Amino acid sequence: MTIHNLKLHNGVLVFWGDIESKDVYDETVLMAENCPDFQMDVEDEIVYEGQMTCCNCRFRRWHPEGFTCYKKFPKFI
Amino acid sequence: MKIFLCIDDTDNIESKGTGSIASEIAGVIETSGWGNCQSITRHQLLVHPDVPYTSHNSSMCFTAEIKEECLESVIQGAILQLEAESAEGSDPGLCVVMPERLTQLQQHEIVEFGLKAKREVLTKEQAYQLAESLSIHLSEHGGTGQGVIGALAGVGLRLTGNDGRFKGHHKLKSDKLTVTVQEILDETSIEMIRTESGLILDHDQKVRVGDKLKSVFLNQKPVLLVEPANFDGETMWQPSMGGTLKKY
Repeated sequence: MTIHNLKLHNGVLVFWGDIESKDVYDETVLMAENCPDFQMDVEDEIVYEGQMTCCNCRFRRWHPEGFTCYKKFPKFI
Repeated sequence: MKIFLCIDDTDNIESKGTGSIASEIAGVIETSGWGNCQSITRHQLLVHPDVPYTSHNSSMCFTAEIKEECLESVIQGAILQLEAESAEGSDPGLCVVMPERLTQLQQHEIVEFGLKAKREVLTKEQAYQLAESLSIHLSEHGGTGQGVIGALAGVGLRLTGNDGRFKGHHKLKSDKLTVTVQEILDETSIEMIRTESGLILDHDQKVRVGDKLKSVFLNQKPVLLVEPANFDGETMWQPSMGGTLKKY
């Protein structure tokens, strides 16, 4: 499985891109659906209601250009 | 007497959220008979690698009407709750502001601090300097105490009446998929339904809703943001989510 929006930035792996773009968002869904570490964040931080996406995961850390992952992204990537 | 109470940096990656602790503090204030609390708002601060946040860098603020003689009890109660419930490795901060003890020019300084905290990296020293000059309560309760920055900023952002989203959801009485604006206004505490660009919906407009409605804080009110969407060939309104909500 290839995720196109992952980028090494200053030594850190960042999911990089405009999450409002459908293609970019779909990759966050694909990753979350295939990630053994995915865990829904606390309710206050959910803006993509009812959806399994890295954007709703408690292990994502928002970054100015996207997000990073405390679990270093799923291993299948 | 009206107070603004805000906390920040109470969580770690696996703990309960700062919003839950804010709810608990509000619960302590009410069950102790010190006053009545209003809704909690979440305020997004700067997302930047140089800011030591856990995953989202937001603070949680609420207002309360309290008995003047209970102010010290409220502050001590909040501190006890914060110290008991904050997660290991977190850097909690607490800010309590009584707007009636400040001039509007002084309140404006807190607003400016809040807006700045959304744009640039601020320091604890800057936060304490402002708090001291205005004689407002700002305290840290563990770790590096960095949470004082967000706690002060959160009060400033709540004071604007135009920042953040409300904690929790609004729920309609019925489980109808499509409701009118009037029904939403009648059945929830939402006071206005509008588009992000500012168009206020007429009361007869139809909105396709899910089971939960999330409101944002605009014009000092809980507002439901909507956008047009197509449902089986019919264009209707639906609550905004994703990137639109994330901006608040």
